[in-house]
Amino acid sequence: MQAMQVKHLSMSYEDGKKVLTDINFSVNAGELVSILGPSGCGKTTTLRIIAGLQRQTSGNVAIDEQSIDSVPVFKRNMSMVFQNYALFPHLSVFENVAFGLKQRGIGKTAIRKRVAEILSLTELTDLANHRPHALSGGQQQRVSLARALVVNPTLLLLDEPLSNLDRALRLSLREEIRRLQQKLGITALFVTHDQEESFAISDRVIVMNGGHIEQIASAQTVYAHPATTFVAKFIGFENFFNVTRQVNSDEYLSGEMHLYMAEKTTKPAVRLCIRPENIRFDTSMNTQQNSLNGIICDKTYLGRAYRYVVATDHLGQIKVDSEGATHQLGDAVRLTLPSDKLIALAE
Amino acid sequence: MRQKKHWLLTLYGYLMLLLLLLPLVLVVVTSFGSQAAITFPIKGFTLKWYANILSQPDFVTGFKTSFAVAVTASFLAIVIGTPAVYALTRRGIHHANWFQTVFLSPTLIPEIVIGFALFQSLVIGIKLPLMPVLITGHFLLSVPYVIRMLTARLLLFDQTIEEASWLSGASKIKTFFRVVIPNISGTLLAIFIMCFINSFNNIPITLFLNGPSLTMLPTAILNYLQNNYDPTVSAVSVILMLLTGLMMWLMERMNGLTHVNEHLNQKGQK
Amino acid sequence: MRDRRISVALLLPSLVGIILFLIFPVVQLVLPVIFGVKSNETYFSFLKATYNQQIIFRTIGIAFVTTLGLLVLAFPFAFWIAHQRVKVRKLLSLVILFPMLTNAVVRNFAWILILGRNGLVNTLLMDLHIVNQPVRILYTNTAIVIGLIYLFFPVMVTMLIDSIVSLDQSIDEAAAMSGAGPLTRFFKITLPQLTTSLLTGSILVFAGAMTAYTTPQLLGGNSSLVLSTLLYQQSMTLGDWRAASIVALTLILIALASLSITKVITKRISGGNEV
Ligand SMILES: Nc1ncnc2c1ncn2[C@@H]1O[C@H](COP(=O)(O)OP(=O)(O)OP(=O)(O)O)[C@@H](O)[C@H]1O
Ligand SMILES: [Mg+2]
Repeated sequence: MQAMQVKHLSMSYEDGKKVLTDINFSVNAGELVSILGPSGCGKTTTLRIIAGLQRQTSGNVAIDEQSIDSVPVFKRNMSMVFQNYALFPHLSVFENVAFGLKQRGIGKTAIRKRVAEILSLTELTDLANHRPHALSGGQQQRVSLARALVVNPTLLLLDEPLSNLDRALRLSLREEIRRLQQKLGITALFVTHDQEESFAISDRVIVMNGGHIEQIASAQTVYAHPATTFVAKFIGFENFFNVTRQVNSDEYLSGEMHLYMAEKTTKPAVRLCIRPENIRFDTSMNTQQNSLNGIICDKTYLGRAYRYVVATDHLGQIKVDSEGATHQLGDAVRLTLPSDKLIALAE
Repeated sequence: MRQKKHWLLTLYGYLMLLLLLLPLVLVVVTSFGSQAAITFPIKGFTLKWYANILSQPDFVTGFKTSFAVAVTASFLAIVIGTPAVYALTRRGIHHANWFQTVFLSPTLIPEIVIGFALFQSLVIGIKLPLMPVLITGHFLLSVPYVIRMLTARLLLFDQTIEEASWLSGASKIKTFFRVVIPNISGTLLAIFIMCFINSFNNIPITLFLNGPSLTMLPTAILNYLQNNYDPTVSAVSVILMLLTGLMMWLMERMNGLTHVNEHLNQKGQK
Repeated sequence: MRDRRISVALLLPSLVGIILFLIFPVVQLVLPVIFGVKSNETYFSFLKATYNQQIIFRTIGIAFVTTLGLLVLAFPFAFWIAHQRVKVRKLLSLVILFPMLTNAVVRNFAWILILGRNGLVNTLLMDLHIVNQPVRILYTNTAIVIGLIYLFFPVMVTMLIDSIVSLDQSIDEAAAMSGAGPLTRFFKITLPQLTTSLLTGSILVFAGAMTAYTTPQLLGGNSSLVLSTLLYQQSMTLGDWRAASIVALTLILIALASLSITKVITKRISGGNEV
């Protein structure tokens, strides 16, 4: 069941700058969907429009097929976890978490019971009487999460909730968010610019760029089959070739270079790409499928591998990651592009 | 990385500090002299001048009226000014600068002119009684304090906290009273005290708007000084200094003095 | 559009209050002077009267000397405070704030005690046999200047401290490393960076001194009238509303002129080397 739909959403700021163009997606009940995209692509704006903190220029937001555009922010029954936690400084942890329940007119004893539950779920029971300023960043973000979850929101919105934390904390809190979301069966939309984070946490990923959606798919699909050049680049593909398909064959031509690909397409012209770590240096000079000659023209140490830039005779410069340090600048090498690692972009 | 301080500069610093405080100390000292004519060094020790304050009806009623006017005007300025500051800092008002200028305009016009203008057009022109006009004048004095100090505070107050409250289900008005106000209450109190001090001490506007039936303390002292020169004025001055000290202590407790400094930097008119 | 209405509702009370009770009365005061019958004539005859000219020049002169005196006296003091440890600086700021928040009558009364006929200064001078007769200091222009300097000293110092404290230390250090001595650094590096605050502070104080009432009233009396005391005298004692309005307009013009100069200066200078 689709819990939340966004239809033809567009947004321009008053300065005339268009930041969202025709955004369409939905989040199913109990699902965690993440919006992934570079800084300034409109993630926060999308989230704020859904929350009712900002108004769209056109299009609408619906919950269970009912448009909620006329519902004010404080009646939407959504929760948000902010990047900067946004806890109420004058209230204790307990009171922060209880705040939303109070607004809903719930009785004192019921509030105490419900807050206690959530605090124990988020391991905050011992901190219940602390003020936010006395907590660490990670603890503050857990309080923020508890405050968002306690009201049992129709939709939980998270705007880069982990980006102010250090890496170890980011990993553990990410697990915790996922665990709680699944345990409580909450529908959630998670915004991040971190690819790994988005893949690790979500059922589906929405990749955004420049105010529009590039791809919506599961993490595995996005990783293995990026739909567009932008997505491919964003998730680590480096080498792109425009090719044309030979009539009645599985051969693709890029200039004089013949390429074979395991995946089948029917389009006459496609764009292929391949990750730098999937390209092999060949020791034997045998002519294999998809192999070509080149000269090393750059070499950088990346830590996990060396990044070689190879000037090839048919496909221009190709980036190759390899653990071996054997090749030197100016060396003539032979590369193989494994046919099962070549991806055709849908675009 | 601080260069060694020059002894001459240090000497100068202490000298100026002395010159800054000495006049006030002198006032305190003379309030205890037993002679009716103030001479140096003072002779004897007495508290009778403090007692004498109470036998000056102008001082007693002046204190009460000044106090009441200051409280009323400060309160009005905060109640009326706070929504305006909130709108200016939070609601994306067009031409916010223009509004700011209007709200700060009481600092642009010399106080003595404000007093004269109010007297002429409200008291003489439309025959309003003195009291409401006096309060209006002091209200005008206080508005810029509310605007500047509160704007500074609200700009520092993270707006996402309010948004979190709206999302939690609290309406905008509820959020204002349950989230914003509790968090800026210290500043509001500091603003109140600043407005109070400023109004209580004001002379130029008060001058035009007091009268035989409406005595204000500063102008009462001013009048007294025209005809008398005895330690009663010293004694009243000491009381006023104690009041200032008390107010500063209150503000310091409110942590509001930082804002006060910011404000005074931009004002500086007396 | 509901949003818009709320904004208006929030702004309206203050706006109406200020327009109705400040701008309207002031305009009502000023308009007849500018546009009234034979307004030019009255204005110029006012300016031509020697008596009034004297007062105008006295007011300007006093404000000028006050400002100059403050610059000389306040700057080294502010410099000294700015170079104290943070804790000491905070304490000293409080000490400076105290007179600033104390009633002006009290502060001026203190100077009556010092400068008066039987005041501290005269007592000292006579005890030391420097003079035989009390010297007349109170009710002179000098007394007003001293009183005004005392009045505005804390204001000027506070303004300067902040800008000295926020000076970029690294510029000074860089200059020191390239071999500039302390004096050169002060005049070539530190002082130029403070020009804006020195100028704006001066103008602020100048305008304040031109329009102050209590100090000239108490320390100048009727023998040393300035514009503000003249305004009060003309309106409340002599009942000459026309003359009073002319003085009021003059005071407004002075205040607005200093404000615009300050604006121009801060714009020009901060526009040149924005951080
Ligand atoms: N109030 C505003 N007025 C005008 N433009 C704005 C405003 N707020 C945001 N923008 C612009 O809208 C675009 C999208 O902003 P948004 O905050 O949604 O990006 P984001 O994807 O959340 O980026 P980040 O990862 O940096 O948080 C940006 O180009 C930004 O400059
Ligand atoms: Mg964002």
